[in-house]
Amino acid sequence: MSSRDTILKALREAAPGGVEAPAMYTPDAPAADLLESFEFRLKACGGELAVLRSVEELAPLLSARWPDLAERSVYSTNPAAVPTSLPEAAFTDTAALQHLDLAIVDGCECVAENAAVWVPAGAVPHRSLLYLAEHLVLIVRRDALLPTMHEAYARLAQRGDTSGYFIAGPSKTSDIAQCLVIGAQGPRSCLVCMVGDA
Amino acid sequence: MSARTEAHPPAAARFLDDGAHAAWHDAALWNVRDRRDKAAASVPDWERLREQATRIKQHTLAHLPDYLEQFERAARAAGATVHWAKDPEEFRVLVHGLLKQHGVTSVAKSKSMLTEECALNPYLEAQGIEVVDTDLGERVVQLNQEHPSHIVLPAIHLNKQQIGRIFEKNLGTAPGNDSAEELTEAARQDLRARYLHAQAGITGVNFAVAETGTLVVCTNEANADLGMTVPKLHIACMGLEKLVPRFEDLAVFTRLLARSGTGQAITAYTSHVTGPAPGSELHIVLLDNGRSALLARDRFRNALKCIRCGACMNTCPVFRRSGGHSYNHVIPGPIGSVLAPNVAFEQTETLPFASSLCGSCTEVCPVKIDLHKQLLYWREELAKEGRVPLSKQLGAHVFTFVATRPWLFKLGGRMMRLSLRITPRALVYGPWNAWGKRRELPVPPKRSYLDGGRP
Repeated sequence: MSSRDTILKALREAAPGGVEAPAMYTPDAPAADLLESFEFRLKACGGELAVLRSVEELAPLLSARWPDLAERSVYSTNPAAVPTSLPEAAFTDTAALQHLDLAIVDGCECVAENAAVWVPAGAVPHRSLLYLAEHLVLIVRRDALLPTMHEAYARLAQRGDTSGYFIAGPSKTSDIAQCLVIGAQGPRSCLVCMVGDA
Repeated sequence: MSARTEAHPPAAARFLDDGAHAAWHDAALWNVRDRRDKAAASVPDWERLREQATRIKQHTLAHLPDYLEQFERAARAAGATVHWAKDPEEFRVLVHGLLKQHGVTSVAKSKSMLTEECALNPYLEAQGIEVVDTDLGERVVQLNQEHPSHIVLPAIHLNKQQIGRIFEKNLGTAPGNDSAEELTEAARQDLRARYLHAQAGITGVNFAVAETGTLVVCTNEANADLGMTVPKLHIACMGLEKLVPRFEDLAVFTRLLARSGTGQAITAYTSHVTGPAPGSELHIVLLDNGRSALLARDRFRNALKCIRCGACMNTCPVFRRSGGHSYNHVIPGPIGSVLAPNVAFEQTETLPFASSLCGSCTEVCPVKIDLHKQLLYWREELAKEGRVPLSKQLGAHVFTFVATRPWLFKLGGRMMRLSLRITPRALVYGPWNAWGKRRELPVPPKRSYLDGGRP
């Protein structure tokens, strides 16, 4: 008998069965204003928020932040706002992507309780660029802001979007004597740009 | 399972020899516990959420073989290959086979207690494959040639100076440099080059979804994410118990995990992998190693609900004051002490006693495992097998004799209060009094609690 069958047989003998699945969970209504809560949580995990009226405000914002933006290596899923400077051949070449300065990526659901932003795996030509980029900018719509993970997962389940990443702030670690260091191995900063009306 | 079988009490005593460091360890973990409390309090429905989590797990475990088959079908449909391993040996051979088949000579491995459980690193290294642990804490303990002392904070037993020296020796940082920022930067530069060099990434799994075949991996450093997206081969290793039935159930667990573990609202990266990336391969290895046996034990089955957040360790007064290495088991702390006897009953017989049974672990457990009760049940099992030391047996007999005779209990108490007051210090604090080691006994009250001497 294969290991698979041996294990499943042992589990069939061991599993008690009979326990009903609980109904889907309904969270308590949030007390705070969603945008306020999102910003508070994002700051707490080392990220920053910019609220924009339209995506045209993005290019000046980033130029002010990185005055040498034009010389930097940039990948953007939103070329109308900021163009990609990386040659297309580098999109799937991890050796080239390791020198990526800035990834500007469209996100979907944003979660007020923890500042997580959903980025579908298919949003980028190579998944690694989300992590190899030195800095990450996420562009999200104000009306995609939801109270908790429950509302976010419900939407993902509904549209069958099961490959992707919840990203909350930059990479970080406290592994050296519990001292918090922002910029562990992935992006050193994470700017979330929230565009439009609620 | 490696033969690390020193008993808990002598190992704990050694940890306490460095009093200043032990005090730091205690305070650092209590600080994490404190952050966990604040994070839990920020969720108004926290207790209802814990109840939902324990019920989802209860249901999943009750139907585990069905959910595993469903998971296997869904993961295959998404393009992943699913493998099954009964024990650590089969697991090691299987993983090595996959690496060999793909011509892999270098692996980037993120945190996975399961690969520790199976002693995967030494096996692969003996076969000539380089394994780089990429979680910063795990990298530190790997360079120092030891094991993690905590499942979430692997290097919590080391201070900055010690880590500085380890990096000086291995990464060439300046002598005396103990800046957390600079040491982290040195590790970043070293590790980022290694992802590009590695031909495979090995990761653990935090949750797996039966309905969709999805794997969820949670990290703060982005190390698992780099490991599973840069190389073209991703091997995900998971215990059979990681399943949840529905994709939407993930909301419950991602809300609980980081808040319980570190007091964060969520980990920086919560990655969902359903099938391989275009042009890549995904292999999922399912491990039993005693899990099906644990499922068959009515009183201990709940331990399989564990989501490895580490909250029970941070809150445990024994763990905080004895350090993870003193448990000599891959998973230390209260949860480790109830998992260990299931796989290594005779080698881990002191672990169910490494607890005051205060119940704090049960209170903080996000999936409501009855940890302190299970510790007591394992003591019963050990007693049944005659594996409780004579001193403990005698003590229990004497206490039973006294506690069932109220007059004797009262007399004993009176004598104790009197003798503690008049006996010379050297006699009270001799080596025979375990309660007087490294601490002051409380000042005995004049009257007992029963006589109305309440404080």
